[in-house]
Amino acid sequence: MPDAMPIILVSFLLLVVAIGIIMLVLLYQKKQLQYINEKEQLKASFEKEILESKLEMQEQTMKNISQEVHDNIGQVLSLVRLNINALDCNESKPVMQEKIKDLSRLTGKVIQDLRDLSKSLHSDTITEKGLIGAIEYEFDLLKKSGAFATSLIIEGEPYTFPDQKELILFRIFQEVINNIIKHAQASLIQVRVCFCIDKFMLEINDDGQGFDVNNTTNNGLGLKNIRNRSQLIGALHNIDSQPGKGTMIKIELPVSYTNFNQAMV
Amino acid sequence: MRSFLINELEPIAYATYMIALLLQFNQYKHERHWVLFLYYFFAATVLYAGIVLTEDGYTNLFPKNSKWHILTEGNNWSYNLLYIVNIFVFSWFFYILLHDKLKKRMVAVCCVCNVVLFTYVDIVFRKFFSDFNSTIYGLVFLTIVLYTLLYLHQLLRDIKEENLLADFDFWLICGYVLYYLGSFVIVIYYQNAGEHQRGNIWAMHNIILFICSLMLLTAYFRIPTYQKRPL
Repeated sequence: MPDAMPIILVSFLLLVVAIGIIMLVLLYQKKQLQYINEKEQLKASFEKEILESKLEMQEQTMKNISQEVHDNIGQVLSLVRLNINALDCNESKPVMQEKIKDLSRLTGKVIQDLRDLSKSLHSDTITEKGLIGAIEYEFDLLKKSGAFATSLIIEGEPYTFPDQKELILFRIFQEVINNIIKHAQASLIQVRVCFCIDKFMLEINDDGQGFDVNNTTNNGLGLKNIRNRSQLIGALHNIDSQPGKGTMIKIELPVSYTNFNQAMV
Repeated sequence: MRSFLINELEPIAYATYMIALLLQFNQYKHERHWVLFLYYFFAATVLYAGIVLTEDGYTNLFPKNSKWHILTEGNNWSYNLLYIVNIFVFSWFFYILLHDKLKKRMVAVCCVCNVVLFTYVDIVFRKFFSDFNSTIYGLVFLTIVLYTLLYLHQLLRDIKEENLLADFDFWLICGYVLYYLGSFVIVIYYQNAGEHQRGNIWAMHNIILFICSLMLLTAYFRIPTYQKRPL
């Protein structure tokens, strides 16, 4: 019997190991199922977020159009109508010619504005402009409004992210700018975009009234959106603000080697 | 039959491992499989040389006053040589396979410890030709079991979407857990066993090795079927 002892012991041990391996496979498959489900949920929420972002962008575009039509095109057309009403057939030819020239100039301006509007409608997607193009366009609108002193600094050689990531990044940028316009009472907006080798960085500073970051009542939907969207694309976000001392929001997205390589090519 | 199980089955098992690894390397060109193939080729050659040189017809191959004559006095040297190659090859293999820095560091530390142990016992005490130190050998086996457990832990931590059963390395390493854990007990008993029992124990060792090699070869041919299944 002692002769068979090691053989029995080894057989028993091997049986235990074999059962252990089978259990490991079963556990792995269980975890794998969970992982696949979570991934699918994440994908669904990502797609939902993309859809929401697109809708928000469309809404923003519609607002811009409405504002442009009301403030600019509508005003000029009213002026044109006023000038037409003021035309008098009994006036001398040179005066008449001068008035028609004015009308022609105003009509030309309306046409030009409509062209610009049409152009902005055609190229409002991130896919066509690219992230940096979209940020520059949005920043231009902000600058034109004349309500803020602005500065935009772009560092590094721009590279691209997948369209959906760029869309989310742009939506974060828009959200921050909208928050500043609505709540910050700022006079200065500074934006720094860095296409660093290891990460993409978007930093937005304002000199507005700021807020207490730790006070949860201040964490409205806008800030929540910024946090959620950053997490969704794997970006780190940092919100630094104190009452009366302005706000700094920084988004950092790690860049994979392949992304950087593509940019280099 | 007993002689076959004790002497010939081990090189056959190594040859089976070689076939499976060569087929896998031929298909996927992973360097680690090629290194393991070379290891098994080397192991089979060394073990076979050890057996042949100690057989009656070859004991006079080298003159008694030659320094090579010691090779024909026993085949302990072949196992001791494999001991050091074993630890280098498997430490490297698992070092490549593991992703975590801590796990890699553990492998490196274990490798260094085993090399120090080898140097101490086989070189400083000159036991390389004369003695098969089964306790030390058992420690190598235990080290490799530790490596396999680290790998299995990594598997559970790093879940992938692919079918686990379609992973060649998984089968290879499952075979190693079975073989090296069994072998650990075997070599521990081997030291205190009588001549007849030693034969039985070694036959069992060879049977386990052969079963594991056969399992790997079967897995290689089954993998395409597993790849088609989602889970």
